[in-house]
Amino acid sequence: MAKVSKKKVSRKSVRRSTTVTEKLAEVKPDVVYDDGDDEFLSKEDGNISSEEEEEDGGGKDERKRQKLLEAISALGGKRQKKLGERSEAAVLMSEFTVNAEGEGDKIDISDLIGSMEKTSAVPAKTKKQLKNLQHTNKTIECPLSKQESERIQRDVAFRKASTEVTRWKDIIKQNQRAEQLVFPLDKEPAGPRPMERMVTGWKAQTPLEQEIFALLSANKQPINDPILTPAEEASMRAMSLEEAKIRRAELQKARALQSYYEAKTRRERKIKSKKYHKVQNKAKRKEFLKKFEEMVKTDPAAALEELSKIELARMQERMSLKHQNSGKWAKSKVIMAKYDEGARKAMQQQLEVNKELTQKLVTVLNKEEEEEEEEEAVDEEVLPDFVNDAEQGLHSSNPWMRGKLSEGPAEKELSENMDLITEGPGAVENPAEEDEEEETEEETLLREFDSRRKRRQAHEAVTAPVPDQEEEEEPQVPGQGEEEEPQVPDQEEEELSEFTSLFRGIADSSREAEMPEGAADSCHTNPSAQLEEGLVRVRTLEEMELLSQQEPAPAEPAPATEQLPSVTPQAGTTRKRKRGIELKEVLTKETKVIKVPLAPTMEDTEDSEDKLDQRGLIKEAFAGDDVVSDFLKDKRKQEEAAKPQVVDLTLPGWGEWGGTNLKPSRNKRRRFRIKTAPPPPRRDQCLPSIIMSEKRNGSISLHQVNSLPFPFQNHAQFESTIRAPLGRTWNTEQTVRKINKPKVVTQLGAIIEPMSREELMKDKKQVSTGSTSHVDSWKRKR
Amino acid sequence: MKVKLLSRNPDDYVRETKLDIQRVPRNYDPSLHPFEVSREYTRALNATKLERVFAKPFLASLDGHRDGVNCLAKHTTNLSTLLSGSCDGEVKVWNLTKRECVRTLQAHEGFVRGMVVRHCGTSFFTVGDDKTIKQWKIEAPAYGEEEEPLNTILGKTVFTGLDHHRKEGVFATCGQQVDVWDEQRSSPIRSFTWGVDSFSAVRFNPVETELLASCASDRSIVLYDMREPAPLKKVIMTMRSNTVCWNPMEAYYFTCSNEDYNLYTYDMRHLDKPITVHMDHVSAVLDLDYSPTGKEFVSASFDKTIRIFPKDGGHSRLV
Repeated sequence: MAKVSKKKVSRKSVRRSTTVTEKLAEVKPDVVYDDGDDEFLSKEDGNISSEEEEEDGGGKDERKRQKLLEAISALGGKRQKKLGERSEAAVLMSEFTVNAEGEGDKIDISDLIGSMEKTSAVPAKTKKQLKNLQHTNKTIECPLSKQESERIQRDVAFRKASTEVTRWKDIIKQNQRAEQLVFPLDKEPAGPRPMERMVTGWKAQTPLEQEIFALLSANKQPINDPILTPAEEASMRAMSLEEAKIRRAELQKARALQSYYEAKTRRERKIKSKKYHKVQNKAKRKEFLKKFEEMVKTDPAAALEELSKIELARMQERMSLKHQNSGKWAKSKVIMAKYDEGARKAMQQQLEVNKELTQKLVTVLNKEEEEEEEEEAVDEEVLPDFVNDAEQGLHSSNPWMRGKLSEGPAEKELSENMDLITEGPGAVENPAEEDEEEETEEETLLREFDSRRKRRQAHEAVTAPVPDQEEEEEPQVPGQGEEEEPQVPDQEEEELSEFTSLFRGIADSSREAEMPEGAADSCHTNPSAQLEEGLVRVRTLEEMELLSQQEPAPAEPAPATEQLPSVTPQAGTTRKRKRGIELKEVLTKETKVIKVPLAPTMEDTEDSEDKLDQRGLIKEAFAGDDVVSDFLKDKRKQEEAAKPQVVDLTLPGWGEWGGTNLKPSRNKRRRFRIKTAPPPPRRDQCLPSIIMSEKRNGSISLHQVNSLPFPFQNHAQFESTIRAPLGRTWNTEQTVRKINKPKVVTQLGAIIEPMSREELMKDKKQVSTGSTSHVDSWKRKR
Repeated sequence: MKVKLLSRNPDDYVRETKLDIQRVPRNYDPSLHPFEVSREYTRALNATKLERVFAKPFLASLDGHRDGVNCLAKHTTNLSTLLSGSCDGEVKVWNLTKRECVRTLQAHEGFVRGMVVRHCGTSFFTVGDDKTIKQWKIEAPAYGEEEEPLNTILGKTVFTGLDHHRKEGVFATCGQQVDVWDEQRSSPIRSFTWGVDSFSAVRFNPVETELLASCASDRSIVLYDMREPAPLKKVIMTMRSNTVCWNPMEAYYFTCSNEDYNLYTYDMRHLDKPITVHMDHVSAVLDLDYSPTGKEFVSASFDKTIRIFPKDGGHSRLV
């Protein structure tokens, strides 16, 4: 039974081929061969009873054998439990008995690419992309959490919705500002409607009518009476009257401008004056150069083009014999030149023009080349001007001479800019300028120092004569008025500082006083006592130091003169009086003139210039005016004004004799003078540094506006609007109607629909016609 | 003897029709009217006083409901028709000019929670405590016909409010979530949730008709777009809002009535703070509605007052 066993083996291999999917490509040809062999054998062998039987038997055998094998394998060593896998038959075996190749395998990009390279239809680009994909081993980021993604969705949706809604902004604003709104908004226009809209169902009935209509429609004539022909309508639609007018006006204007321009140019062309044209040409050239410079900065490409053009022009100029003194005119001039100065000059000029025209143009663009040339060219260096100036600068006593140093380079820079364009005889200067640029930094520093020094010396120059004078004059006339005047500010300063310190003291004391007691009337009772306390406490050594710091000048120098004693007793008295000081007296007392020698103050201030702090500055700035006393005077004035006046109602001649020189009797005057009750105490009574106006009336302020309402520009405008009467008695009927127009007009019995989207379209048309007078609208709202 | 006569042209003093105002010749020169300010002030004061005296805000009461009225609905195309739903599930249709009840129908079992008339004005929708949405004809059934709803939708949860789209056959209900329904379908085409809350009111924007606003019980107002799958934005306030209403003339403004006695007007683009706070109520504000002109709105409160506020005014108008 060798054959049978062989057959079995072959069948087994067949089964294996169905189950084992891998390496199928290799196995299959064998199987096919086996099968073929098998069949061949079965046909050949007639002894075998029946295939089917045998097959069945073979199947059983097979199973048994498998079991046996399994049992054996289970016995031996490792127990390998096969995981029971369940697979779908349909997937494994396709219905066309074609095995799904590579089933269960993942598809790699490499598989795809393999086939792709074979097919020529695939564009190279996709191939490349796929290859790139293959190489990239980026993992896709894990998707956002549901909440996150929802939030993003919401955000996007909200933004979309809000932009959509924002379209209404214009309409809403317009409606809010409108003088009058008439609801419902989309009211049909009043007046007669066109016939054809009303009678739509009408038809031509009689044959005559039909004929006529047929004719009309054939000729595109209007069927109903008032309408226009299609052609007319089209023309109407094409352009409205206003538009046409505007356009016509524009065209007219353009035409007029053109004709003006033409006339002008014609006139200019006819001018024969050579000089005029020369000047004109020169101006043109200059302008062109200017433009060109700008162009170099902004549009280098265009500039290059221009440059080439210029170069071409230069070439032409060089090639031509123009301006070469070879023309007829030039020759005649040559003859004349011997005798005539003018002719010589003209020739010279001509040559210059030639030179100018044939000059090479130098710009930033070809500077590099130029520089190379320059290096060769530089032999003689023109020294910058400031080098020469430095010697003059040595005259330090003269500030004007030093001034030049600073001015020199600036000029130089200017000239540098000018020279940049043409490289002429001045071309040699360029390297020198570069050197200069390096030096400029040092120069600027130098200049700064210099200017500072100058300023200081100028100060000295101004102040210096003063002490001289003083010293000269002081012994002669100690108490002269002229001399005192320049010193007054200083003394005032001193006093001012005193006042400020006093004020501070008062403020402190009042704060201290109010905090423990907390009663307002305390300051009514004895303000002076508290003030005393405060003064004593605050004016300590520190305060004095402060003072002395502020006024170092008068204290320190004090050359022995008569003035010094007069200062010290003054100070002494103030200090003594501190006990019984009357606040207002001190603050408003007349400024006493104290003479202090002024001589060395300036020097001191110069040294301490850097230390000059804010206080000092302010003191200096307000040295002239006595702010505090002014303030107190002002306050007193206001108090006076607020006091109720006595009303005098006496009429001369009533109940008495009247006449020119007769006064009403005292009795009568007493009777008719009306004294009003004293007003409640002022709120700022015990606040010396504050003025509180009592004019504000709380009951009225309820009805007053805090800020200027919208359309008004200034308060005068607003007040005039408010003041104008509204009623019929004072205004004409039309004005009344206009002023009192209701803000909202609704039609009785009409349904007001919410705003529809069509309004948006309408609004776009009406945007231009949105001029309204807001003042009126505001008034109506009121 | 010569007699001098004073002759006048009657055109100068006789009016053309009796509807014309009597012609009174006047000299308007301001220098001739030194006391115009004080006179005008007096007049204005008198006018205001008289206006107060003769103000009659109360027109009529419509009697007939046997239980408290829970909701009202305006007819969209007929000014004289008003609908009211009561707590016993009864809906009455009123004629305002005649001040009489035109029709009564038992719409729901339990409260009628919400009611809205379709934009065409031929039918109206009601929602009730019995978890149903019903569509009814406005016209009364003919003699012998039975009172039956055109359409009934059974919901899973109780609906607390409803509103209809202004142009399309779409309506929105609120309850445990906000649902947008197509009239032709028995299930919502959209349903929005944002956390687990119950909603007390939902309103379509009458201008930008795809937008909705709703009040949730977690003290928030939520905005939706019908076209989007998710809600747009949410504002959380210190206290719960009862109802919300859009301004019918200004697309992006809406006002909500709050439990903290105030009403708040918001710009839907900038929800971080309200544009105006309307104060005057002394108890929770229950409901509000805008006037069709969008210039004022009326609010009803638990303090038994109805107040009319200008849309941009902080305090109510005196009537």
